[in-house]
Amino acid sequence: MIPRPRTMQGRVTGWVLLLVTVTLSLNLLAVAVYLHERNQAAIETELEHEAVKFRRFLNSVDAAETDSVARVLHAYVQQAFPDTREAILGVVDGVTTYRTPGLGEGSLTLDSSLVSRAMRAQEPFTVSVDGDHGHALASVIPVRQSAPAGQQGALVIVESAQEQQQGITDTVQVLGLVGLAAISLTGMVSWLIAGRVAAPLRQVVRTAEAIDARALSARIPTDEGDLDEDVIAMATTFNRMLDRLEAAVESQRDFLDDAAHEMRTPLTIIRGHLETMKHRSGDDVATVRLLVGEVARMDRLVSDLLILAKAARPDFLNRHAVDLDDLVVRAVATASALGQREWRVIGTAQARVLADEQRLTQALMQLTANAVEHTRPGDTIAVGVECQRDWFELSVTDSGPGVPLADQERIFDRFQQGNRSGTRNGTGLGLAIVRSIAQAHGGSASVTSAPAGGARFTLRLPRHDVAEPSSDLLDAVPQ
Amino acid sequence: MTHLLIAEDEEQIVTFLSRGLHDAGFTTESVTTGPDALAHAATGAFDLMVLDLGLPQMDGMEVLARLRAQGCTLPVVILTARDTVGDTVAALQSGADDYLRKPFAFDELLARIRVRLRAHAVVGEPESLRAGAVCLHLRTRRIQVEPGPWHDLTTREFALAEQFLRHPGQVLTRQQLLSSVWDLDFDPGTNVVNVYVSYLRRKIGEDRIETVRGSGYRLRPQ
Repeated sequence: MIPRPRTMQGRVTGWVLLLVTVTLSLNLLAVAVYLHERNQAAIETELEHEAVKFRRFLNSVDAAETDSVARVLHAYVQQAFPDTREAILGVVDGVTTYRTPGLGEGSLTLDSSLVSRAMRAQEPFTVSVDGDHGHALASVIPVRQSAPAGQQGALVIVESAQEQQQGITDTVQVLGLVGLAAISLTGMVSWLIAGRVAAPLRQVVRTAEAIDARALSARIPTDEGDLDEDVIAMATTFNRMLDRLEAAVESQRDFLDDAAHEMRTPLTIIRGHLETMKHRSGDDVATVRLLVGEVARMDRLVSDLLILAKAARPDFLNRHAVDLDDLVVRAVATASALGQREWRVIGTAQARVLADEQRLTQALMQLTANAVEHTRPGDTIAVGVECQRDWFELSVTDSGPGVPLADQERIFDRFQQGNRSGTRNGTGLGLAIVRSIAQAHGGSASVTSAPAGGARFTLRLPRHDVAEPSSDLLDAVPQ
Repeated sequence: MTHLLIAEDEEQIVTFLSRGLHDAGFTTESVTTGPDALAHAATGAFDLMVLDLGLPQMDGMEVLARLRAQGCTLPVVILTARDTVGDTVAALQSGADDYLRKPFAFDELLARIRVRLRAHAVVGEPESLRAGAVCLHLRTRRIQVEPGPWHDLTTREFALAEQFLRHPGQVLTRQQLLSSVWDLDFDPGTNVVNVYVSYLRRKIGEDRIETVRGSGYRLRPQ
């Protein structure tokens, strides 16, 4: 079974080929049958002609001679001059007694069933005799002696169809070869035509592939050369859809920017005025500190909400080459300012991958801050990296109380005030952000219980390696 | 007296900025539109500009771009309420010296302004560091073993190479390197130093940096 062609080009070509092949085969078959029939008819006419000659001979010979079947047959075979496609044999009492040279070089033998049938027959008949000499027809004319105990005889005229048959075979072969050539040519031409017809489709696919939020401006050309009307209609519809998509993405981006601006401006004013206030008494200092803290929390909430709003957008990530070892060590360096803990780095990646360094750092900071929140000074917090062939894993493990099994899925949801996610200073969005960063990278975030009892948060992300920049190309001395 | 230009359209923000900066010993002047900001900044009367990106008529990024196009090197600290990563990159690329996101801690703004004013006064770090045949180009972050080819370095490889070239022939301990390259004042049990030394060796040759057993690494002096 031939696998179903998947592309339009393949399918069109397949159907055209099938159609052409069937048509040509039927054609060939019809020609072969017609030629064969015509050939058969011609031979039968020839046999008939021979039979007429024999009857005329019978009428012309002397009555004296006709009393012996053997003599009559002998005489006829003697005077006959068949061409090379014919043989005339005389059969007397079941034995082939006389024969002309010619077909089969005299070695032609008659089948015994044919001979016995010839001996029994009252009327002439015609049969096919196929053998070494190829396809042939034989006409059998019984000859009876009038005397009661006379001989049984028959004249057998064999007419070879071999030469004509060869002619038919040759014709069919030539026609077949021409047909094959026509099929190949048709296949190639229809492949090319189908390719041309499908080209605008591939253009649509390429354009669609090239589109992400940064390149929404790409459009399918509709004024190129000799495009068909329906193709232009399709491209135009697709382009209009892109227009709407681009407008939607842009308006959402503008909305988020405006929202950020509108929410942060009052926060900036409040914080700035609080911090630059003069003549503060001791009570005021404490109040100002509290208010600044609340403004900062409000700001974190705004930022977190914006991040979550953007997380599903295609421009959420800004991917570059990220060295995983460096990422982890710097995360530990930054996080170590969050609290007096036993900070550890576990594992070595020795890999440079395509990822968003800022977002991954953000996720690690969220997880380490979370870990600090749930541990006491002197406890251990380990940031780990593990690299496998297709994925890599970033993890933060602490020696705190851990996360109950029932909460392990729930705490990644938004505003979940579980034991772990909702903390005094948190917004309740931290782990949701961690998860959306993992998902934006095509991976996942999860929490398990560490062997020692604490929590182990893990980001497992698909690994796309980035080659080292090729330094051999940089021979020029920088000035 | 240090004279600062504040380009910000939100009146209440201008108020506390002026007050706080005055208290810190600066004199200030403020403008509220993009064209005004550009005109004032180009006069040369100011030592630094605090520039809001969301100015009316001409946004801050445009002001900055035009200012730099005129060849003006006035230090600029950007303030913005937007938070796309692209904005940070774009601002720094178009010639901003620093970048603060609103709402900011006022002390941090002061610290950044002071750093920028000082940095502007300092002239002339060398273009490159050299130890024997090894040459580190500081601006382009490339390294070369003469007369070989130049190699690009990643940020961290560059920081590591810089440490070795600033202390040629000297043994640098793992802890020293963790501290100066990764800001880690303790050892969390990472072998990141070994990993990066091996990256660097791949670029400048295995024997240029030798391992001093039990203490650290050393750049061979010649």
